[in-house]
Amino acid sequence: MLEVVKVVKSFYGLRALDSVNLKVEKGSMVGLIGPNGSGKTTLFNVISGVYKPDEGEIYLNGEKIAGLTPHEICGKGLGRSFQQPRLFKEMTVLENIMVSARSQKGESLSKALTRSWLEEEARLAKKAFSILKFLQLERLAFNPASNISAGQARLLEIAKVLMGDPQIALLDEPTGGVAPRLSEKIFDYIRKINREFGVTFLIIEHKLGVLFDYVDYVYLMDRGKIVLEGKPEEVAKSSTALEVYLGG
Amino acid sequence: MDVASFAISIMTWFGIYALLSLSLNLELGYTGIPNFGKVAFFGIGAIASGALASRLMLAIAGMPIDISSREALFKAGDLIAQTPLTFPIFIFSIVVGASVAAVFGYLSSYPAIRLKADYLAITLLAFGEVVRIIARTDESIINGPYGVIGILNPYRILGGFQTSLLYAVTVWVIVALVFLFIYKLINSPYGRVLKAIREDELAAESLGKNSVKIKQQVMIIGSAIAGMAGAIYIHHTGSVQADTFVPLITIYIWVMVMLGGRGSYMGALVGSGIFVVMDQVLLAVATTYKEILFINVNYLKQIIFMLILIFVIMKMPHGVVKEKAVKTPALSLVEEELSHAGSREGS
Repeated sequence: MLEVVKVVKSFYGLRALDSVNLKVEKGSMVGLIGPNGSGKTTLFNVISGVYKPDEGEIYLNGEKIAGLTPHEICGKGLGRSFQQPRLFKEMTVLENIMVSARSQKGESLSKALTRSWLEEEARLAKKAFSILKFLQLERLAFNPASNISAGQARLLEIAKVLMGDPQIALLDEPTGGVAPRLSEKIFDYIRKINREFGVTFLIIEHKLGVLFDYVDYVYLMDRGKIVLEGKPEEVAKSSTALEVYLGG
Repeated sequence: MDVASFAISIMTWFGIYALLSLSLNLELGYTGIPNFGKVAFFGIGAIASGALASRLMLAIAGMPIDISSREALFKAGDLIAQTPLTFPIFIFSIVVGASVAAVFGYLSSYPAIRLKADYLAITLLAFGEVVRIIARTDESIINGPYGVIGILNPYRILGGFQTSLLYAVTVWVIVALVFLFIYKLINSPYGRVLKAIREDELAAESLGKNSVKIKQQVMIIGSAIAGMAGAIYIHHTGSVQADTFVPLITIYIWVMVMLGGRGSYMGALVGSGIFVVMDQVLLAVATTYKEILFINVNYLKQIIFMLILIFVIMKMPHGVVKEKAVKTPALSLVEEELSHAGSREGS
């Protein structure tokens, strides 16, 4: 489904990504771990089109996507969340979710002035409400997004990605700053989406204890390189992982 | 001037400012484009329609096309005012003003795509001055620094109060149509996308929104509305002078939008209304007390408006009318779902 081949990205001579190879199979949940500054978020930014890679290729369903703009990549079925939730703060929680649905009829200038989008809008509103309800955010639907807690902002960020019906979602620390119990709940929800709707996930996460319970495969990054990959239990036992995290 | 004529004059100016304010509010308030060159598009509309209307009048009257001849323009005006052609000329002039401004809006959207807010603001500010200076120096457009006079009011044949009244009504019909257009546009998924781009362009892009295309569309629409205001302005005053379109006009339009409320179409109307009334009141007060005033009336007006702008930014950042959520059926549907959920929990 997603394949990253020998991707290089440098900033002012510093190689943030150094010939990164990574594969995510359709329908899987894959973890991307590594210490701070190892290049995980940069890799997400390159995959999602925020940065163009200096070298290498990225394939989504066999199609080259390296160099496309973020909206073009999103249009091909790749959704992403950000490390720091990027909410539309002056908009309500409901508006944040509604705007996240992809390719809406009423988003075209000519159709916005007609009533042709009303039916779709009603369908999307029901979907938005069910996502809000599942994440227990429904009471906040009419709150400005600037007026919710950090944990709720994380949930809203995930809700936005899911509202876009992605084939693959890149989640950057979906439980960052969230209490452990809620972290498990978030991962339960992600797994439910994965199983019920077949959405593929690539997840950056620092709470390895939680992450390893849910993902099928793990990539470990250090200094811009993938230094280890394997099943969660293999990575957990590996001395390389210990060295990367604790220093060797 | 009697009270009725004064009121009609205020209504006409209010309508012109309302169009400019609605236009900037669409760009700045909803989409986050800091258009500091608003006057350029107002000016382009005025200059294009002035250049066209004056030549058209001379051509229809069968006179040589020499827009520098005031006598010829007045004579042509007198002749055409007797014919039913005045209104079609007016409408054509508005369409041309809006279209030419829209083309320039499209062209100026290129920096809007590539530049960050502050650099864009400076670029557009400079663009406004470039437009004014070109129109002022190139005599082939609107007769250089002398401008063009004698542009017809479409109701001139009626004369006096009736001319002003009908013109004010026409202006407000146009304002109502533009308002309705913006109302429908904003209260749709398109309006939601505009707000999302304003709030966080990268996040909006990552959700599949083509911010480049949408910002271009908004610049085209906003510029067309400003150009329309320019055409209406010259048919009201009867002349077009390049030096009218100074950067201060842009600042005034910003004051209206900030005062009324960014991201609120009602706010745009309220802001322009307050501005026009204050402008006229200040003018009246200053004229009455001009002997005891220690400062030029225009400077005093500018100082007061700038103080208002500073006050609004510091104390009322949302303006008089606060921004509201986009009104689509999603609002009522979710409200309904919430009340059902509430009643289920209660039972």
